[in-house]
Amino acid sequence: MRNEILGNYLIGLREGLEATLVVSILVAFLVKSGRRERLGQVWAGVGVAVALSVGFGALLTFVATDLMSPAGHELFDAIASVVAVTFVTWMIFWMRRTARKLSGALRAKLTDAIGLGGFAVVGMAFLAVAREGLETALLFYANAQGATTSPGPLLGISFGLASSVGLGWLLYASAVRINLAKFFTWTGLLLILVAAGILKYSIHDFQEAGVLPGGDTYAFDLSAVFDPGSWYAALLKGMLNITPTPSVLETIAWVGYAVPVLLFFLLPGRKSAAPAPTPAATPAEVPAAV
Amino acid sequence: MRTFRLFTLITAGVLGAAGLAACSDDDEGGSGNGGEKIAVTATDADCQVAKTQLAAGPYTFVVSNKGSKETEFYIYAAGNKIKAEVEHIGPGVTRDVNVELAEGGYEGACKPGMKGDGIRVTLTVTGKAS
Repeated sequence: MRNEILGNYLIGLREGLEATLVVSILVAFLVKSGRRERLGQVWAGVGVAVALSVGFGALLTFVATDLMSPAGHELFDAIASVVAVTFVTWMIFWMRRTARKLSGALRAKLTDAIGLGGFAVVGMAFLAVAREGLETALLFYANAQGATTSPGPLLGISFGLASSVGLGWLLYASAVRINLAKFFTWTGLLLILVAAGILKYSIHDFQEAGVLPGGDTYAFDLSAVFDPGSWYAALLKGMLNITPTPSVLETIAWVGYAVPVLLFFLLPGRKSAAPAPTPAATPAEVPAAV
Repeated sequence: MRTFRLFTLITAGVLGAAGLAACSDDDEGGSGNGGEKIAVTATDADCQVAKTQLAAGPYTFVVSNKGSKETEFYIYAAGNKIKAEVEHIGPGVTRDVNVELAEGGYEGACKPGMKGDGIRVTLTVTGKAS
C-alpha cells in the first residue's frame, strides 16, 4: 500500500511539475511586469488544455479505442514539445531584453516596454499543460478505475498533482519577491534549463516514434547513482527532464541548445547578430518592432 | 508583434497537421479496438506474459504492476521497433494497450524503473489474421 501511494504520488508530482513550472513563471512574469490583466488568458489556456486532456482521456478510457498508434502519440508529443520550446525560447529573449532595459533608466516605461502578446500568453499556458496533459489524464483514469480494489494509486496521484500545484505556487511566491532585474535574469536562466530539457525529451519522443534513430544508444547510465523511483528523481525529471539513461542524440540536443542560448543570454551588449544556432527562429523575432 | 502572430498561426497549423498525421498513422499497428486480453504481470524483477504463442490478430495486453517501481511495457518487433507501448504504470496500477500483431517474432519488455532494455519475453505470432 505504501509503495502504491508513494510511487503514484511521485508520478503525479512529476507530471504536474512539467506544467506548473512554466505556468508559474508565466504568471510571475505577468504580475512583475504589470500585466495582471493577461492572467485571465493564462487560465483560459490552462483551462482549455485541461478540458481537452480530461475529455480525450475519458474518450480513450471508456470508449476503449486508440486514436493513435504509439508512434503517432510520441510524434504528436515531440512536435508539441518543439513548439513549446519555441515559445519558451522567445520568452527567454524577452527576459533578456527586459533585464537590459531595466538596468537603464527606463523603469517608468516598464509597462510599455514589456508587451507580451495575448497569443504568446495563451499559447504558452496551453502548451505547458497540453504537452503531457493527455497522458496524465489517462494515468489518472487508470488509477481511478482500480480504486475500488485499491485506492492507493488514486490517492497517490491526486496528492502528487496537488503538490505540483503547491510547488508552482511556491515558485511564484518566491519569484515575485525578488527585485525586478534579478527576477528577469534568474527566471530566464531557469527557463533555459527547462527549455533544454523539453527539447531533449522531444528528441526522446522522436526516437520512440521511429523518426529519429538511436533510441537505445545511451550516452551514459546514471541509474546506479540516481534512483529513478526517488523523490529527487521525480523533481529533476518533472522540472528539468533529467533522466538517468539519456540517448546520445538527446544529450547532443540538450547541450546544443543550452550552451549557445546560455552564452547568448549572459553575454553583455550583443544585439541581433546572434551566433546561437537555436532551433527556433528567434534571432529574427528579437529585433522586430514589437 | 505581427511576425509573432503569423508565427503562432503557422505553428498552430503545423500542430494540427501533426495531430492529423499522427491519427492516421495506422500501419504502425498500435491502433484499433483491441482483441483477446492477455494479462501481463510486471514486478521489479519479473515480466510474466500469460500467453506467448499467439495467432495473428488484435490483442489487448492488460499490464498490472505488482512491483514497487513505476514500470512500462513495450512490444518490440524485429530490430527493436516499437509496436506497442504503455508507460508510467505506477505501483499497483493496471493499464491496457491494444495492438495488432502480424506473423513474426516479437519481444515483450517490462521496464521497472522506466530505464534500460528491460526484462524481455519472447512472443511468437503465427498464421494470418482471421
